[in-house]
Amino acid sequence: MTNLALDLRELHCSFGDRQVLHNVALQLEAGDRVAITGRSGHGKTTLLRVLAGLQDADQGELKLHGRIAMQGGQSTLAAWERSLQLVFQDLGLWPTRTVAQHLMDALAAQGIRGAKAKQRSAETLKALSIAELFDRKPSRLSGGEARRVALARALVSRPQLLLLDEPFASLDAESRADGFALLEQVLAESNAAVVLVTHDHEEAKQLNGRILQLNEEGQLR
Amino acid sequence: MPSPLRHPAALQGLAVLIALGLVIGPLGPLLWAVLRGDAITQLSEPRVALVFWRSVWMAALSAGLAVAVGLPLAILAYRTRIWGAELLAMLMPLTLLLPPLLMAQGWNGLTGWDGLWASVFVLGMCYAPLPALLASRALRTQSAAAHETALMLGGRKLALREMVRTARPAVILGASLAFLFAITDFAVPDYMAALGETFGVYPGHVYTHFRDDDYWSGARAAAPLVLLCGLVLYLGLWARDHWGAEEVGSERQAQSMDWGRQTALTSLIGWSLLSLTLLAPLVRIVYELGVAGPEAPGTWSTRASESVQAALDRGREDIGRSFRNGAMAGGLALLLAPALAHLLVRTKGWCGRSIMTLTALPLLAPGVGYGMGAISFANRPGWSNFYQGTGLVVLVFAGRFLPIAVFLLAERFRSVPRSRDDAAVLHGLSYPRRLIQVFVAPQASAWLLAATLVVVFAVRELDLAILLPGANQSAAVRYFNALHFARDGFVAAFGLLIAILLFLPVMAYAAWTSLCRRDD
Repeated sequence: MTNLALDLRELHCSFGDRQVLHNVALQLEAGDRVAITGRSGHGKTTLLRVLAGLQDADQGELKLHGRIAMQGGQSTLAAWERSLQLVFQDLGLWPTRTVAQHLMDALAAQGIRGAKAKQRSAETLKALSIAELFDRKPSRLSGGEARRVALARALVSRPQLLLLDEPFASLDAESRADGFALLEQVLAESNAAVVLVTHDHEEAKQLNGRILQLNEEGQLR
Repeated sequence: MPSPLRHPAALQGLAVLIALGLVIGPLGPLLWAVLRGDAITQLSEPRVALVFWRSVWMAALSAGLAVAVGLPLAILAYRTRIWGAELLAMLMPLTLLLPPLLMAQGWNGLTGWDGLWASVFVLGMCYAPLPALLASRALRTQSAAAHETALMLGGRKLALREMVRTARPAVILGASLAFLFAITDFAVPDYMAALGETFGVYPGHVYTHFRDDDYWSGARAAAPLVLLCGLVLYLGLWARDHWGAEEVGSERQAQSMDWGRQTALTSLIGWSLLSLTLLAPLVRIVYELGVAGPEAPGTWSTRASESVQAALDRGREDIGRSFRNGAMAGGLALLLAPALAHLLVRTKGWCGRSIMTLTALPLLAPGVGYGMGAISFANRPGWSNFYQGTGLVVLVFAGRFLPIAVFLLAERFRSVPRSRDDAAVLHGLSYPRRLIQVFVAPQASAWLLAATLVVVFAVRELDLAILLPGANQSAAVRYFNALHFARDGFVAAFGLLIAILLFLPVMAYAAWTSLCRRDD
């Protein structure tokens, strides 16, 4: 039996009295892509945070590449041990670190340091056409450049699962198309499974994968 | 194998343990007295209850006065275009750095007021910057859309009402803090009672009991005050969390409101309010530098210059010692505060408020209670070097003023987007690295300011300096003694010297951050 890249079952999550996710299940194989749509406040970001190990749930089981990551809603595998990365809606770049340092920090956590880390960072930035931003800090980046840097940081550690939280939400149609073309290009070279959440059906279609909807009751259809 | 340093528990646990040691060591018996119900039994004695309730209403009036002055000052300085608004905003917090006794000296000299009502007034003016500062932070979060809509719909009147609404939760917390500082202040009522009509306040009652050399007696006496302070702070935090609403709409910050033809009048009001809280008493103290009877030799300026010289000659060493002890306490706060502030930011609801109240305890407890607790802990055979030395002084000052550093940093850490921290977790950064990279480095100026405030508050602290043998020879004690024995040019010069030295680091910080903003 093959190990699924992601195997989520019976996920329930609530905030106080409000149930946000209700009996959510999701299975992905390596290289699969799924876009999850839903209105604001329907728990899309919460689902990604639970998958990433940044938040516990009330109930649910999660396996990542056969490793148990969550049992009974409680995380059993730390976020950094899950071989996944998340590109945040607001990017989450660190203001005092240069672009290169963002990537090298990500690599250092995997034990890759020094010249090797520098070389891998440069390669990743080149692949995303932002090699010239190497020494810049986030405050000196345009919105589009900052998005590419966030994507580069997520990809440099070669995750097996990539989570994208409305990555191109605030961009115009043309820039968004460019963004997806870039994503397509980098994903073509990896076998990572992708989960993208968005409130925009057009954006969901551009991922070229399955499209699921998270409805008002917190169920995935 | 994953490093244990990736989990916050180890470092946060260590910081919490040290902080708890600084709280529980000196305050353990005092807290035990509260838990045993001594707060209630103490108040069953009519004479004690009378003094207690007098302190409560005096502090409530002072807090009300602080809000009445602080809120308009914050609105005028931070959100309206008046003459010198930037300077007004920069000077406004400085009152908090002054020893309240200096304010009392200045106001008494200006007006001749003494007794109970003078005490209420002076404490109100001393702590007006607390609601003002918290209100100013809240006002800066108001969205431009909300402000501009109010202006279009109802003109300046509605815009002002919306500003007050935005600032209200912060002002309630500021009023709670003003109440806490006013009710635990002993020096100002003691000075005002010595000058005029005699009256007692509860911190005086606590002080008397601690002087009986029976720590338990003092702890029992302090119990109602500690319980009340804890309750008031918890309610203030609850009000901020409960009534505080996140601003929605554009991320653009609201601009300062133009007063048009009323600019002169509003500028006058703004600067008059600052005169009440800072300028007037300071000017009076400057005047006292060279004031003397008609037969006195020399002019005002020669006498003032002699007073300043005397202050420098006689007080230099005490001031040096005060700053050295304060700097060491500030250094300790630099190390401990970030992990504690991060813990506070990540803990929500009643649990977060309770941790915050516990963290604030050393600041809420009467200074004399905290000091006596430290003495009863450290005054034992074989510990005399530690008991009489600098080590105890630094630990006690750090413990008492650490909450200021923690709260200031927590306030700044709250503005850090959650995603930055989450990204650091996902990438497996160790906790110390995460703390520095995500929180401390981008807020380095706040980190330094937090430590500077610990230094400043340690230097102006009087109660602890009187009690701890290692801190007796300090600027605050010399000033207290000088003021109670005489009212001459030396006292004015020495008070002014302390004020200037306390202002300098904070003014330098304000100028530096202002320059950095302009460079950006």
